[in-house]
Amino acid sequence: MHSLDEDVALMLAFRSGDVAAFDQLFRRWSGPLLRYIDRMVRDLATAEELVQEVFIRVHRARERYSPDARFSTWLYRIATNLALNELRRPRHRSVHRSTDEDGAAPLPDRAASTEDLVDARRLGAAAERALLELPEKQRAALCLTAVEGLSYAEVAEALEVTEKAVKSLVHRARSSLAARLREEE
Amino acid sequence: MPETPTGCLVVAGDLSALIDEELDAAREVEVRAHVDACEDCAQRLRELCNVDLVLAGLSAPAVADDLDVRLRARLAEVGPAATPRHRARTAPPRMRRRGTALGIAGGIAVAAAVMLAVLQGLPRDASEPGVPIAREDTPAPAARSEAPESAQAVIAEAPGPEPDGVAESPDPVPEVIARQLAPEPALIEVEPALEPATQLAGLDALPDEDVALVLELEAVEDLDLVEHLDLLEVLVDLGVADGA
Repeated sequence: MHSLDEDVALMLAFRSGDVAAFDQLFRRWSGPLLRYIDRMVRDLATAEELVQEVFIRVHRARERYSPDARFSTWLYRIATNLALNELRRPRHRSVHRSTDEDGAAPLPDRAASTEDLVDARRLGAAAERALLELPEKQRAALCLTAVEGLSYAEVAEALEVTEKAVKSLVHRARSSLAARLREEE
Repeated sequence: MPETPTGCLVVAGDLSALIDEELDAAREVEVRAHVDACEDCAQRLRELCNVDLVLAGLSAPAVADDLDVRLRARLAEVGPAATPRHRARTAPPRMRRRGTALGIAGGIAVAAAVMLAVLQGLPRDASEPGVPIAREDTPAPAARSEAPESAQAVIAEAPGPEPDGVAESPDPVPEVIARQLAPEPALIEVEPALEPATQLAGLDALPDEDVALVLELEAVEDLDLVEHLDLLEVLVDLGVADGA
């Protein structure tokens, strides 16, 4: 996680006309945003488009930017809104990436037994499928918390819900995935 | 102050928050104490932790090497200074030809104007009386002078080195700027200035007089007929646009 000062400082520098600061923000955040949005929409091409869209909005909003919140929270809020909008488009509902292709967990190291390898792959695929079946906001809350490392307060801001709601969303999402993984074991 | 219940049912709701370190210190002590004493809750906690481990092990896509290049191209295209006319001419052909509801309505209005002009034999010179020149609708000079400045700014502000594909492609902005900055008479007597636009739009396949008519109507009505090529094709099919 990047420090608050660095990201805000970069954004303020960009607001003042430092184009390189925008470039640096892109380099720092495009990876995490792509991972998050891809988890949400499960389509890499769409995720890449949406990452670009996030930065286009940052670019457009530079003159209005004020460091009221963490920069990352602001980014994830934009990303979440774009991802949720995308998920509600009719064309997206048929888009599903096969978890056998590239969504499953990476294979453990070579020292792992065959059984471990198979188990890890099966669990990863099961987790992917279970993640896809979660309600959108549960998925977003879990990904932002468990994968991206945001606090409940930050997730609440990104999802525009209360912290209490985030706590509930995350717990329900985690419990659903736990139940699915239990079935697989 | 009532004591917080620590039964399994209540603790279960706090296990995720325990993992996420979102419990206050006092509550965390209570939940940990319960979990230490309750094998069911301890097992539940292990399962929830396992979810995070599995999620952390899932593969994540790598950022494509050219993603910043694509972003820069999009910034240049959809930046704040990009005018609708600019967007229409830089969009893929299929997009240019796709009419929005507004575009269709505009197309119908233009079709009516074309048919009236042709059938009634009205003069085509927009400067002549009888032709509805909506000069009030044209952008104010101040607004026009801002457009190229900000359009260049969007391109100039795009981060990183200029990508080959973008650098070598013809820059559409100067054409837009040139058209928008052109003095009023040039908007009417436009053939030389608008020639590149006709090439971009594919209008060069039409007879010269039809191209002139289209461009004249664009100037007069402040409409972008490039967005109404479908309509134009219909007019040609009907024999209206070629003066038949």
